[in-house]
Amino acid sequence: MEPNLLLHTKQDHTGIAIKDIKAGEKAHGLVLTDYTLIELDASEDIPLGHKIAVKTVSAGQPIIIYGQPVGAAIQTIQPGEHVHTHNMKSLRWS
Amino acid sequence: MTSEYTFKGYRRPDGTVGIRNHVLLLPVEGISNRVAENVSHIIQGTLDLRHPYGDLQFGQDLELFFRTMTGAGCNPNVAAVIVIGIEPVWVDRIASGIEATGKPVARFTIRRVGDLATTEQVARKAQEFVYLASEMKRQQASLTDITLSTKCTESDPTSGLASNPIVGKVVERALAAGSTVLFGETSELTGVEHLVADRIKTGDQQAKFWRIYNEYVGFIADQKANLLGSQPNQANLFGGLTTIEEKACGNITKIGRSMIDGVLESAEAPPHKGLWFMNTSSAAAEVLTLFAASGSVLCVVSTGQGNIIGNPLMPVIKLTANPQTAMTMAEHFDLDFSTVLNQQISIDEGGNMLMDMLRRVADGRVTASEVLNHNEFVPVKLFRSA
Repeated sequence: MEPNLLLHTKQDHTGIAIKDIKAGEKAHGLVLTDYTLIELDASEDIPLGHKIAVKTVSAGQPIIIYGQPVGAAIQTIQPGEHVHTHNMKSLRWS
Repeated sequence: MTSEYTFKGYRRPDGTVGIRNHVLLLPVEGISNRVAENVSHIIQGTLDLRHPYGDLQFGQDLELFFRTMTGAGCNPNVAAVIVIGIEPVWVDRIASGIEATGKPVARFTIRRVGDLATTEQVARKAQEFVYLASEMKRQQASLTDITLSTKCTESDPTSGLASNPIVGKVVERALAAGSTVLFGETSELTGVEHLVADRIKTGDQQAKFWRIYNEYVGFIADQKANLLGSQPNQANLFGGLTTIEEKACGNITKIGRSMIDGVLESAEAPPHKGLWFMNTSSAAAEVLTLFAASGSVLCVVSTGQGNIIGNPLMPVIKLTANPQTAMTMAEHFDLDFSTVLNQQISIDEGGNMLMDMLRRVADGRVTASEVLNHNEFVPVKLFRSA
């Protein structure tokens, strides 16, 4: 299956949609550091360029992308959910 | 020097190399724009740099203004300059600064003369300069002779996945060959500022970086504003970027793994070759204007959501990896890297394509921003005039 999702590193909590992914569709993620594949179900629509959670992140915990903390979860995020300003905030400024 | 780095450019009297050959009409104050614009309509082959500033500026803001205007005239893409203003002291200061390059410079003041007579005087001199510039010949040169710059803008996650890493490959190669490269966007390093500082080669330049970075983010914090929608901006958010740290991680991939030679104030010319971080905002038109004022003759701009920016002094090579942007705004792009996302083109192959485009544009190939007349000249004003 051709990937519709890219992950910068294996540690990342989110993947980036490279095509629009509809709720209920399978997300096929390619990890760019080791070219392994992951698969999960999208529970929400993920537009191209937007993030889908691939791991559970508890409320208040850092969100890892590029192998680095780049924000925190405002609420607990489940795999398959859309990750954006409604459930993720900066650790640095508002 | 291998052929991938060689092109024909314009050698200036101070030894710098340009890739365009403009005759510049440079108004000192906003009220002098009219004469510059008049002449640009009369004399084919002139470029007028209209702007709104130059009146009652003072202190650091005035110094930046002088660096920007003098730097614009000194840019190696400029063959000859006519400085036009109301205030003879400031006209002289800018004209003298440009004359240090050895290129032809003329100066005209409007006070006690008026617009109409000044327009005629400037037009006659501009005609002479256009003849002169038209006989300057392109000569053999190398990418190592020129200063490049790079900026990412209206970014989205496709920037960090594809277009910025491709720029990073070219920055690495240009530096290895001996070029000079500028990047900036001070506050947009937030989240990776420690990683950037660690790549700066010397301790004193690292200290300068921290002073500049802390001063800039301190200024932003002092406004006590909600930044969501400004930084990241609306296009970033629409495209899928959520936080400044996430944006910064993508941003910094455009210098690849390169080490940084040092840190420049806004519109400061680099003292020697290598990779230089310049203190700038992250607003594209401001950043490109500062890069051009410090001698950059060519800028590589990557975009996710599709910034349509150009610059009058230097060609902008624009690229995107977002397939929706590439399809809907095709006329704005010199390179479409949307097939990098589905692995049809590798980052290395993208780097080869961009390297080739760089050499071709240096050799005279016009860019999308030039063809579409995107001539945004936006000097930075630091604070209110006195």
